[in-house]
Amino acid sequence: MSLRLLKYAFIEDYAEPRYFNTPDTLNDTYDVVIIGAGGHGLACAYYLARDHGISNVAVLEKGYIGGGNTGRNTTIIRSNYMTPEGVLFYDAGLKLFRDLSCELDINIFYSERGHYTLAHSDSTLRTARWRAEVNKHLGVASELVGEEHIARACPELHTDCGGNQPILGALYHAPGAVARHDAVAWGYARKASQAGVEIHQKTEVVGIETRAGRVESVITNRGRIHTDTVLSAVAGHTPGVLKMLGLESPIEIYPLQACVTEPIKPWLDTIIVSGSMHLYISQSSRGEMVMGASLDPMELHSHRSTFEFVSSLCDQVLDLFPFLSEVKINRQWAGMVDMTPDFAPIMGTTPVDGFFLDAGWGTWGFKATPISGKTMANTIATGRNDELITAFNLSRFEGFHLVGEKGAASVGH
Amino acid sequence: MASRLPPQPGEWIDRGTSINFSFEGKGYRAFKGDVITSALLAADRLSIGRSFKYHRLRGVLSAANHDANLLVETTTRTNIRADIEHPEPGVSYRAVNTFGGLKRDAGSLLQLFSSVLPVGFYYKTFYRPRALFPIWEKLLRRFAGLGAVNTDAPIRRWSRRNRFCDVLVIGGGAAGLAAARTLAGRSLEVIVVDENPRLGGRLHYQGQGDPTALSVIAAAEESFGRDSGIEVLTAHFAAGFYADNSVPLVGPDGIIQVQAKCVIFATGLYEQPAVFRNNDLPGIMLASGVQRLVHRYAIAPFDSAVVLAGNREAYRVTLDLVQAGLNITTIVDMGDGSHGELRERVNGHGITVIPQATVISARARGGRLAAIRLRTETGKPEITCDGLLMSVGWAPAAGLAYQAGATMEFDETIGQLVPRELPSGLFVAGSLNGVFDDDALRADGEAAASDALKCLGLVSPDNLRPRRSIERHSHPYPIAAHSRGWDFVDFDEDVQVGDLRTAWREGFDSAELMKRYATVGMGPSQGKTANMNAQRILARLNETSVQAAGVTTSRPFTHPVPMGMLAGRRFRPRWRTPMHACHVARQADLMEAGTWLRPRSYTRKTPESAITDEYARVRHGVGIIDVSTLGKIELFGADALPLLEYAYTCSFTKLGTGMTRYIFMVDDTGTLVDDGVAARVSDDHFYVTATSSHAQAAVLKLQLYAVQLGLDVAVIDRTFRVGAINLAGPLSAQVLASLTGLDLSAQAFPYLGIRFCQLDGTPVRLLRVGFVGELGYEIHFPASYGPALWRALLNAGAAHDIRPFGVDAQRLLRLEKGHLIVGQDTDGTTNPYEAGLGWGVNLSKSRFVGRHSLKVLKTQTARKLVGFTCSEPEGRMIEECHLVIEGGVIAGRVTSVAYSPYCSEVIGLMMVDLALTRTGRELKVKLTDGGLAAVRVAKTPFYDPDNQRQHLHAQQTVNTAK
Amino acid sequence: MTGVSALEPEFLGDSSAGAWVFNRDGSPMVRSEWWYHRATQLWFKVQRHTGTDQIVGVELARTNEESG
Repeated sequence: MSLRLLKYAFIEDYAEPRYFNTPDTLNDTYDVVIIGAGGHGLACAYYLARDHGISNVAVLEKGYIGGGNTGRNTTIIRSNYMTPEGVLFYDAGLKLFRDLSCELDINIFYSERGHYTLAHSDSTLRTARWRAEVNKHLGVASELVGEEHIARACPELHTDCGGNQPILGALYHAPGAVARHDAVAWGYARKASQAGVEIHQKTEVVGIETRAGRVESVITNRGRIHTDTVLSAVAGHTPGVLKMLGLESPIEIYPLQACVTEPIKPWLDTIIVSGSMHLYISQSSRGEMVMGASLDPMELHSHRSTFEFVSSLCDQVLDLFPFLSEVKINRQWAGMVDMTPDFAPIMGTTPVDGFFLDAGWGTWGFKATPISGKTMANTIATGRNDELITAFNLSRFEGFHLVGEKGAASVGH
Repeated sequence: MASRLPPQPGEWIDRGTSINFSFEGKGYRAFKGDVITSALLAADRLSIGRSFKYHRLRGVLSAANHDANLLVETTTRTNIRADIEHPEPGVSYRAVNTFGGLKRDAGSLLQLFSSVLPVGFYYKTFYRPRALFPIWEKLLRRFAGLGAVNTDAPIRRWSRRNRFCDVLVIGGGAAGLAAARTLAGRSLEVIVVDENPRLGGRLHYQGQGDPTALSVIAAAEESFGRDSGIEVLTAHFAAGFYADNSVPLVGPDGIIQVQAKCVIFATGLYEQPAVFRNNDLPGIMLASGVQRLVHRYAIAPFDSAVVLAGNREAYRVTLDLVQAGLNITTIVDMGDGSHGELRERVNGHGITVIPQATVISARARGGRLAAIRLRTETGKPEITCDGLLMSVGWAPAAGLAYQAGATMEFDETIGQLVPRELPSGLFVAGSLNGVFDDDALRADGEAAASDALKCLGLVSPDNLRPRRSIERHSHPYPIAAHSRGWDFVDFDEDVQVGDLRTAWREGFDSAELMKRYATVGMGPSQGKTANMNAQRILARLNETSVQAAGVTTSRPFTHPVPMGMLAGRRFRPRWRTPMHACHVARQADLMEAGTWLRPRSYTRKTPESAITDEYARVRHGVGIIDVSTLGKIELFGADALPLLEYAYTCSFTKLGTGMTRYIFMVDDTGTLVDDGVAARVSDDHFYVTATSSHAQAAVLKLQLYAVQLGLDVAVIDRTFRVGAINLAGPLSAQVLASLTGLDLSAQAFPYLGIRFCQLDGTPVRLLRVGFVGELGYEIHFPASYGPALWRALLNAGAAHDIRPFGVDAQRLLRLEKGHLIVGQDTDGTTNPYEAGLGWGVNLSKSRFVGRHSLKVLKTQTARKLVGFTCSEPEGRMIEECHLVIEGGVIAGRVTSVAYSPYCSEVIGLMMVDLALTRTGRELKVKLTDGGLAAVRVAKTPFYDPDNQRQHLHAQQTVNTAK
Repeated sequence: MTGVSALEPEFLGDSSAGAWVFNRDGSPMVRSEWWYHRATQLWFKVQRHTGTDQIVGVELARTNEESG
């Protein structure tokens, strides 16, 4: 038991200092304004202060800290992508995650469980091998495993899939992990706050003003801020911010839904994903089965839930884990995600000087939280795209230089 | 002690039928109609559950589905709510989440450490050093979760039904019944749903000494006769509210998904607990919970009880229970106790009223309530009692209304959140609206029904809404925080007042942040008895109003729903080709190809020798393969040609009648998505094939383009009505000739021609195409002729040792011929130039899908699909998707690979960087084990590069059968 | 089943191919979408607000018979 907890026992009415400041007034000027106090925005603020000594920073949040996709995702962390750009980027992120609890002084429950992407057909098996080979070549632990391996690692899994598309093998990614998503945002918020960054919740950006192609100010519901550097880290709402600047992008917004069961005693230690069945499932540290599926079929800017989602998800899950049929779903919810045509993010500089994008996260933004913060901080501080993110620049679409992540995507989160 | 009362009017139990079950290893007897809880209480068993974090003993709180104190499990089911579940005969139940049973739960030792387990303690420790966390995690996971799932439990899927109705009334209490009565007999389809097994809601158990309450229920039930249009669904709950007034009703037999034109929310209120030290002891209950126990199951849960009063309802409850024969000694009134006539009646029963007082703590003996301590104007007296009834306030059951888009506001007078605005077609009735008296509840239900009638465009009297109550029904702060804790706000999660305070001081000072940090409202009951008090505490901490403190978002479900109910019955389409039975009879190894089933080969398990046998028959004799999975599309109309020109990349102007050509389709980004064959049957009639996996999409696209362009063309999907067989091999013409009189000579039926004829009585289209590199005919025919034709071909070819071949042999044959497979040799970004299909793109056409993208892509091709060979032994270890490595960098990948009997070496296709595509260049392929295999870039086709085989036998086969 | 694809224009004007294919204003607004009714194999045009999911207009395209 740590000393930190003993304080609660022996100091009367003890509480730790506030995790994050909530300044009453908005300053007239900041060196950097970050739109969005989700994990990404807060991480960027933290690394700006830690690595670049830039702390005259305001993080503006129209809701509350971590209330967007940071708090709505299913917390899977992995780096078994298909393109070298993707693998290198996410693997750097995964390495940051491993040390993040100590770095941020908050237990984010980073837990390596092993991540299985099930293959039910020759073609998914081929894709799995493709990813495994790319991963291995770049030093990331992935391998194609057979049905016996899966049955050993997760004996509860019915590999015959209820007689429908039996499992032929899987892409096994040992470092695949889960973490407490809220804690990541709170940890970054606290460290950024301690470094002098201001976090303004319930502060909505309504406009961004430019002069001669340069950012000049940000207009909020609480007044105008002068700044020459703005980062948009509002995945799920990116098109609205781009519109303030007259910029276009390929981003379309789709709802991504998830649900949890009532807490049950932990029995599933691994993370199971099936692209062809459109599901992924893990068990949280509270005992809930955390489950999700692919995107909703239609573009929509809404957090509404659908019955179709939860019923078809359960239908699929029961093929893999039939004994869950009497286990009850407690809660379902949705997030809004930025989808891009090549299933890769849009990061870095934009045609507007001083305006930087951290967007297009599709369904995998959470796992990029630390690395996006770090690389965006570097990009903002130097004015040049960090080398890990050059492939993800907005300009790639104009030139048809897409990132080839699409082949492996479907679901995987 | 708790005991069974003499029969109560309207009780739900059948004393004539007993059910024996066991709980925690001990036998109990229930009456039919009992729930597990009531049966246990009848035997004076008060402690039924353990709490989640501290494993505290728990008893009845709401006796409804409003809390999750009492979760039990059997060997196959878990997290069963004992408050609403009827015990099944002979079944053994036990409490969930105990270490060593309910009585001696070792987990309760955690209570000793509560001071070092503050809110969010797990965020503050166990992570340094990093290496130790997995060990801590293992330990923490032992404590996580509630019930244990039996991983051998059998699957259960309930059927799901869909329903439509005019009005859905959610809640069958006083207001809901009044609404339904108003709607009865109006030729409307109305569904009244209530989660309880019987209608009436509070009317039933809060009879308040008024015998007319039961008769109101009876009268309503009577008016819901056969012709009333009213359908009553009890024991069903509305689980969520979705778009277009869609509401799943969850019942014992599964889910009925209702879509209603109008919805009336008469969902009522959840009674809320008071907060004080040890407010979770067994024996401390919500007043309405006690009423449920008394009036439904005839259970007296105590000998002698005190009522904690925060509202006038407390007095009515007291009178009601006294009338039922229960012993209530004292009312502790948090207000001034001036309740006029009610007060007098209470005093008349010898009950002491202590005004301006509250309960600050409780203490237990033998695991149940023994005494409570008050704070009064004069001191802190203790009262001995084994029951405490909390009647301090209510929270709206507004989850569904919130999900439907309602906005709520806090009415300071009654102390309750009430609806402010609702989307059209949705109405609220009853106590959710802030009306309380019986007359007002009825009037409000009738008014809501009138509103619904008007919304449906029907004539309706103007029933005026009754006025909202003007008395206080909820105490503004029924919370007595205690310095030593155990003052629970959330019973599911063991959240205490101090936890919320600590969370607030650590910065989690908004409703959502507090919920997430302190986990208040996150448990199985989703905060039904916790959120209101948490909101009051937050408001006080923030020195703001309850309204301003804000609420957290409401999400489905109202109560948790079993996955097997949500899933419904299983339905998976599986497509079989017309010749499926023939394949099965031949013991084919069937593989799933999307929704289709196709023969991989015609031996079980498909050994490599089987593939080479099948392969060899095609190369040297003749074989047939079922290709019915191909998309088959008919285009008729004057604009059939313009449609093809727009949808495909090539030019069709040179395609003469009676001829076919290879075609492919790209999307607007220039990515290759489909290929096939187009045949010109006549000027305004084309026949097109598409790949199996893209067939449906191809049809849809062609139909869409036709509409978008306003073309005069009919696009008809023939995929399922037309079967197809590919007859291939040097002897194929001989086989065909024995079945038809058609002139098969090269002049009459050239390569790439299409002809119509009969084969052994089957009307067919013959396409002289084939991708396996031999003389071949694709035979298309009405699906029902398939089996007969298949047999006819096998019979006709018997002399030539004809053999059916499967997908695996076909792939090998195709690969030798260098034909790519879209989706295998291409990926989600491959364009035709990369695939070596640039010859099939005609950029000079003025307009076709993908043209603008292809114009750009043509100038910047960076990789290319090429053939390769490998004669080294390690070539046999090359698999599809192995990488090409050049200078340590990934330079491409193998897309297809096989050992070629013809080349006597391994051959394949690979997508590699353009700079590496010179024929003869040596490249390295990285194998699974990390070793490298040297391969050489090779020209394709590997087999018959000059396409001689297509013409080989055309001359000499001219119809020997004629 | 829906498709939102715009027709491939004959000329792009000032726009580059990349911009035409990929870029758009993705903020919530009423959008024109093509929806498909499987049972009747009919494509029709729907005006839908992508912020609220409200359908504000439905337009049946000319059928083949009518156009002929």
